Amino acid sequence: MSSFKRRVQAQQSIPTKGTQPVIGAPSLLQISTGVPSIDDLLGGGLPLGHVLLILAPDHNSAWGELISRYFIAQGLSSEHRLLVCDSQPDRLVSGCMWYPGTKNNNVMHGPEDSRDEANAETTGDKVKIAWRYEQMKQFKTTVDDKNEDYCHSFDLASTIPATYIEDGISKGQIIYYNPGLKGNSDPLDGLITKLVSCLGASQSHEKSPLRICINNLGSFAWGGIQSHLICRFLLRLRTIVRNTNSCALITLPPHLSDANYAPHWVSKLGHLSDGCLTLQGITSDPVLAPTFPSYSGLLKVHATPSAQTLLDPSRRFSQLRGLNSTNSATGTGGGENNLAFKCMRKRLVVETLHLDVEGGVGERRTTPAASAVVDPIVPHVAHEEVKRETQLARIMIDTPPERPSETAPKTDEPVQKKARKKVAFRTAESDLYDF
Amino acid sequence: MASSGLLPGVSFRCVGEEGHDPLPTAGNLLLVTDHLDASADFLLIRAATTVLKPNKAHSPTAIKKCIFMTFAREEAHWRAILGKANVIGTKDADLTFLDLFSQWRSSKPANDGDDSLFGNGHLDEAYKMLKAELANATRSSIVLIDDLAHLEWVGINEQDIVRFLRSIRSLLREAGASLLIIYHKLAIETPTSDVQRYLLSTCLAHIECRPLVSGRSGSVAGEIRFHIGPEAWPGDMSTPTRQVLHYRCTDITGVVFEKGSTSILT
Repeated sequence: MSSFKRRVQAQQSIPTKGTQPVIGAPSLLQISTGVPSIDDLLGGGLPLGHVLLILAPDHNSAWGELISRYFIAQGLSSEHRLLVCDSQPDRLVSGCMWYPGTKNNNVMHGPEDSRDEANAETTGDKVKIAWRYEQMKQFKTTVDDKNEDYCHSFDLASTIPATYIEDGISKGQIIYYNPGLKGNSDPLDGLITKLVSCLGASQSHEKSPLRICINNLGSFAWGGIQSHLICRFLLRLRTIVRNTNSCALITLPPHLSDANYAPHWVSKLGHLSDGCLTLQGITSDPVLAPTFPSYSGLLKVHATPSAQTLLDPSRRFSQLRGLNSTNSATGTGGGENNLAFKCMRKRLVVETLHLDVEGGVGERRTTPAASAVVDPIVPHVAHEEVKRETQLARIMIDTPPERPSETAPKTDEPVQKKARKKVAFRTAESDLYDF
Repeated sequence: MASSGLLPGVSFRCVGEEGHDPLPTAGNLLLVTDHLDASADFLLIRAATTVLKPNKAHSPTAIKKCIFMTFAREEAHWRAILGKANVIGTKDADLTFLDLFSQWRSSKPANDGDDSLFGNGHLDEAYKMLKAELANATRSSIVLIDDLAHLEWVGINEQDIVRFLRSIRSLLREAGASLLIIYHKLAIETPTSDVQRYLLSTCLAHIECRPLVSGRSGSVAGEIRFHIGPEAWPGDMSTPTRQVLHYRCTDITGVVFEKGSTSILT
């Protein structure tokens, strides 16, 4: 009898829906946050057993809540379990986005809608490209959604049907927790107790990951919470979710997302969480809003998960951050890209931030536009004789006609002064550049 | 992957013996400070590698036992990195983990009662675990602590932490062991707490990892500055030839090179 034995390939375990292995640590799994560009910033997704903290210091918007809703929607779509912690968790979940066209036929549309949206944004005919440049990659400022099974395309214009939520609650897929109820003297401790009980109940038989969404941690609905208690909670939460089949996304309210809330506050949060991002809205900023009119805010990456590695996957693989060596022309690695996010009609996108040319003008010109008014440049005269009149953003200098000098040569033909070419400079804030 | 020590060109005089050691010995404290944008975790891996997988081309260390106290990260994280680097305990050198990170699952009150050593259950437990481990140690050891700064942030009294540090340093002097602590600095220049001031005023040497002034880069994780500590006597150590070095992290270690150069220093 032959001693050779046929190698039987070990049966590979079927990966859980909505998960994929962490790059660099194949024994770990990661899940999508629901926003492909944020997944890219994290190095592919949020690893199970890790905590992501979202800071949204803008009081006039709810970017943190939007990320929470994406996280919840992705969890429901991937049939993951959810623990939603908020002062009004039912309101938070019912306002989640869902697949495009859900209202009519409950059919999930693929990425075609996102392509349609991208095509709708481009105007004009197809640009002719010289043949030597046709093979070059198109300049991109964001990442594409590649894997629909991992990260679905959601439509901000669609909301999740109530039947999905009711079904999820009845099956125990969605668990609500309101920390402010029952006059809880220590809401953070109560939340920890709830988390431990949920994780303990699910360890034995559940394979589906548990997504913990804590919205507006430490808001005024929770009662007054000091900074060191929030730090302690974050540390305890990390120990609880570590080495479990769960992960947590926490958003802080605007007053706790402010860097001046406590000394070196953002640094502490970055150290105490595995991932930390700030979404700084700029729509109410008088300087940044007109400078970057197409963006809703700036995004800053403070920390990214590094599961079982010294070099976090975000630095190695994130296309948006641009820190990996293949991004630069010399292959030696470049500086980090500036990042901004925009909330479009159908989705939230994070892009690399690029300045416009010449400040407030979108294109460089050497001749004035047809609608522009050319102001003739006249020689400078005494200040008291100069009348400055501003109309919107245009500066007109009126001076009395120059007296002809006696020594000046007299010519029969009038001297025609040629209009001096200049690059148009327009700004909405005219007084900002008045000197 | 074999290591030549913590940093190229850095060695410490052996206490009571001739010669130099790549790691501090006999009760000395080596302080490592880092920043959120410039992590110094790779120095812990390099220290463990020096003990457990020494480079034959360089002078060996007298330390034969590595005690890893994990306060800020879980033990599995460090085990996985050391496992990838093939740095494991052998019959010649030991590697022991004291997991204090998981203690936070059940948070105890800040003051545990009259019988508390340091007024805090976590510090008491850490002291007891270290004392028991050192009592069983038969060889020269080094204790690695991955972070202490977060203990201040979660509300533990700074004076309690300082007393804890004094106590474990006394333990280590009795046992002839050295100590390497990583401390997460919040401000680049000035110390922000009594714990940091205590560490800076009692260390043999201070390795500072700073982020680049120009921001994050793909090829350089940060810069390293080596400072001789207040407890050092002339001739106690040799320092790098360059005052400022750059480093870059990989999956399992960090590589050090001179500023403006890409050649790795060994």
